[in-house]
Amino acid sequence: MKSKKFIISTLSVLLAGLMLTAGLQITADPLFQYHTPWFGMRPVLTDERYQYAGVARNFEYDQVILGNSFCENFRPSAVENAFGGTAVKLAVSGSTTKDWALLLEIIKQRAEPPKNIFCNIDPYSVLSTDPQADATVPGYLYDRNLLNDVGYFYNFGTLSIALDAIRQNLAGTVPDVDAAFLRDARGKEAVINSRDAIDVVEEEPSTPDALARASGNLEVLLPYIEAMPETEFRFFFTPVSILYWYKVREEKNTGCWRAVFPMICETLMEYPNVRVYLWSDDEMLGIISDLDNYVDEAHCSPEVCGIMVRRMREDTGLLSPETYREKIDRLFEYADGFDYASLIG
Amino acid sequence: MLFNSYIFILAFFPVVLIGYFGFNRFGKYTAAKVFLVLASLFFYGYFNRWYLLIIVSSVTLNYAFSKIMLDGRTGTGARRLAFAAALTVNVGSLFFFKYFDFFIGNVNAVFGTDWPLLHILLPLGISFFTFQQLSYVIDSYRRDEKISAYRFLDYALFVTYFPQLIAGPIVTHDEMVPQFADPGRKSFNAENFAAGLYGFALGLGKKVIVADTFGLLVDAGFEKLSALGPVNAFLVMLAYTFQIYFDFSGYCDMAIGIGKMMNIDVTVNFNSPYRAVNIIDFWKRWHITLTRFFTKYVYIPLGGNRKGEARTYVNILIVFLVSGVWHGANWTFIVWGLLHGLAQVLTRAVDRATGIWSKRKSRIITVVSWLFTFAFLNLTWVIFRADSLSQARDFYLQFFNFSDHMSGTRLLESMVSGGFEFAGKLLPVSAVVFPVGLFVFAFAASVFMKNAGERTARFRPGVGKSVFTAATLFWCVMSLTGVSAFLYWNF
Repeated sequence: MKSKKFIISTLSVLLAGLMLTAGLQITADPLFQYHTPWFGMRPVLTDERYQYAGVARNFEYDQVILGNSFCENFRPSAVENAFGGTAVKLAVSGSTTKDWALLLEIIKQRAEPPKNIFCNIDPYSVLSTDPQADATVPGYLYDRNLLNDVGYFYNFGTLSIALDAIRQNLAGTVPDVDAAFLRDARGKEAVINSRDAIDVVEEEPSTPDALARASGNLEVLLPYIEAMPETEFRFFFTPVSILYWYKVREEKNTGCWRAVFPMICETLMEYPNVRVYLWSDDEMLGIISDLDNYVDEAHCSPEVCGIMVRRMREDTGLLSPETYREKIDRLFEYADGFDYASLIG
Repeated sequence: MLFNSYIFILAFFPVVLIGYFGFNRFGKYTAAKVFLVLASLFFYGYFNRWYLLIIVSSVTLNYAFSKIMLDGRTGTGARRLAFAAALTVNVGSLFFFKYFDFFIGNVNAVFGTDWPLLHILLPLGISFFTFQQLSYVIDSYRRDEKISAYRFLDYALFVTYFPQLIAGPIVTHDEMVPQFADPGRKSFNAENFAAGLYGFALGLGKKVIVADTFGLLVDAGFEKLSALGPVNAFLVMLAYTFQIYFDFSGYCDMAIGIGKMMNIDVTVNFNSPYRAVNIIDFWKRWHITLTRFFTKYVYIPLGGNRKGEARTYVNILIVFLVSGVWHGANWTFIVWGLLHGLAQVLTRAVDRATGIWSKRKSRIITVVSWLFTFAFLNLTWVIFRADSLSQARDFYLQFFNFSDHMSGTRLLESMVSGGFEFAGKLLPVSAVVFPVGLFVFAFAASVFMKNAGERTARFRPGVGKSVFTAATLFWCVMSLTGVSAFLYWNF
C-alpha cells in the first residue's frame, strides 16, 4: 500500500464513521436537542441531566415541574388532571438553583410561556449548594452554540442512549414517560434502615451564613420570575419525613431552618406571579409522620406528590403575608415536640 | 488546548496543516513560520489568554539576553550580567509561579508565621518552556559550539512550537531550528504524513483508551483509600504505573506524530521504560530529554563522575533532588526524587562492586533485577500520585489491611466507561473482562511489545494499519466528551 492511499483510505473511513454517527445522532436525537422523536417513535427518558435541556426546548407543554429529586416523584399526568394542558417534568436529581436557571433560560426563550411552573423550594435546595458554584449539568446541551454540540454527536454515552431508544421503540418496550424516574415508597422499616448517618456537630451552624447562602440561591431564580410575568410560579416547601426533621434537629440545623423558612417566603411573596405553599395542617403532619409514605427519609412517594398537586390546585396551604409565620411555627413546633423515640427507639 | 479535544483534532490541526503547507507551497517561508508561531500562541492562549503575556515576555527576554551574550562585542562582565539576569528571570518566574506558595506554606509551618499564600494559577508547561530556554541561555553564555544567533522568529518558533509546548519533550535549539529552515521539509510529504498520522493515533489511543481508563480506577481507589485492602491497593498501584506511562508517553507520541506530519522530527522522549533492568537504565528510557537536560546542565557542571566516587553519589542525589522539585511543589515529589536518587546510588555502588549489570550478562539476574526495578517503580509512583506524604503512608498501610475492604470487582468495574461500557452492551461478556484485559494488554505492551516510537519510525503502510488507525481515532473522538488533562502538563 502506498502512503497516499493509506492517508486517503484512513481519513475516508474515519470521516465516513464520523458522518454516519453524526447522522444517526441527529436523526435519532436521543437528547431531543433538535426535535422530538421522528418516525412515530416515542421518547425514551433515561438521563435527566442530559435530556431535560432538549425536553425543555422542543417538547410541547404549558405546565412545568421543575426542581431536584424532591420533584422527581411528580407525575406530569397528575398536574395535567389538576391544571389542564400538557405537563413536562424537568426535575433533576441533585440539581442546584444554577441548573434550574439554565432550564428556566430555555423555557423563557420559548414562544409561549408556560402557565405554571411548579418548583420545590426549601432549605435543602437553597442551603446545600454555594450560589457561586457552577451548574452541575453539561453546559454544552443547555446553550445555543452549535459548535460545541460536537460533544453530543461524538460520544459513546449518547450513542448508547440513541441505540437503546431505537431498540426499545422497535421492540415496543418504551417505558411510560409519565412514570419516568418515579420511585415507590419502600415502607417504614426500609426508610429507617436506610437513613443517612447523623453528622456529629459541635456548634450550631451560623444563621447569618445560612441566610446569605439561601438569599444567594434565590437571587439566581428571581430574574426568571420577573422575566416571565405571565407564568405562575408555584413554589412549595417539600414535606420531608419526620425522620428528616430528626436529622435537622440532631445536626443543630433547626435554628438556621427557622430563619431561612420565613426569609424564603418573604422574598418570594413579593412577586405577584408567585404562590408559595407550606403544609402544616393535621393531614399533612400525619403524612410526614408515617414513614410508609416515603422512599427514604427525605423523599415522599408519588401518591403524596399527587396530594400536593391537588392541594396546589385547591390553594390549600397557600401562604400569605398574614399567615406564613403561623404556618411555619406550627410545622416547627410539631417537629420539635415529636416523640422520636417511639419511631426509632 | 489539548491534543485530545474536538477543537484540536477537528479544527485547529487541520487548519494549521493547510496554512503551514499552503504558505510554504507558495514560497512564503517566513509567513509560514509567522503563521506557525501565531497558531502555537493561540494553542497556548486557548487555556487562558493571560498565559500569553507570560510566554511572550519569557521568549522576548530570553532572546534579548542571549542576543547580548552571543554578540562578539559584548565584554565578559556584560555577558555575565546578562547571564545572571537571564537566570534570575527564568528561575525567578518558575519559583514565583510554581513554588512560592509551597515555600510560604513551609515557612509558616516551621516558624508559626501567617504569611498569606498567593494561590497563583500555574501557567501550563512553564517548567518545559523555561528549561528549554534555560538550555539556550546557558549555551549562549558558554558560547557552545552548537549555538547560533537565530532570528527572533526562529527562536520564537523553537520555543512555542505547539506539539512540544506544554508537556515536552524538552527539545534543544540545534534539534529544531535547522529543521524549520530545511527547504526539503517544507512540502507535504505523504510518507511522513502517513507515519505521523499512525503515530498520532497510537499516542491518542494510549492516552484516551488506556491511560484515562486506568485513571478511573486510580481515582476511585484513592477516593476510598482506607477501604482498599492489599489486593485493591496492588491493583491501584499497578493501574497508576500504567496510567502515568501511557498518559505521558502517549502525549509525546502525539507530539512526535504531529511533528512528523509536518516533516519535523520531535525528539524521542520514551524508550519502553518498564523494560528497564535497573533504575539507571530506567532513567535512560523515561523522559529522556529531562535526563539529558539534568546531565548536561546540572550533573556535569557539578563535577559528574570526575571527582571521585563519593562526590559522584552526592552529585547524583543533587540531580534527583532537583528533578523531584522540578516535578512539583510538594514534599511528595521531593521524596520521590530522593528515593530515585538513592536507588541510582545503590545501583551504581552494587554494580561497581559486583559488575552484575555492566559485566555479567546473566538471564536470571536480568529477570530478577527487572522485577525489583518494576516493583520499586510501582511503589515510588504511589508517592508521586499521592496528595501528601501522609496519604502515601495510608496507601502503603493498605497492603496490611486484611479486613474491611471493598470488593475488587467493583473497583475494576469503575474502569468500564466510555468505549468499554459501549462495547460491553454489544458483547455478552462480564464487565470485568475489559479491565482485566486492559491490565494484561498494558503490561504486555509496555514490557514486551514494540513501542509507539519504534512502530512510527519503522512504519510501513498497509490495510490493517489503515483500519487500525481509523478505528483508534474514531474510538478516541467518541471518548473526548469530558476530556481529561495530561498528567504531566503541570510539571
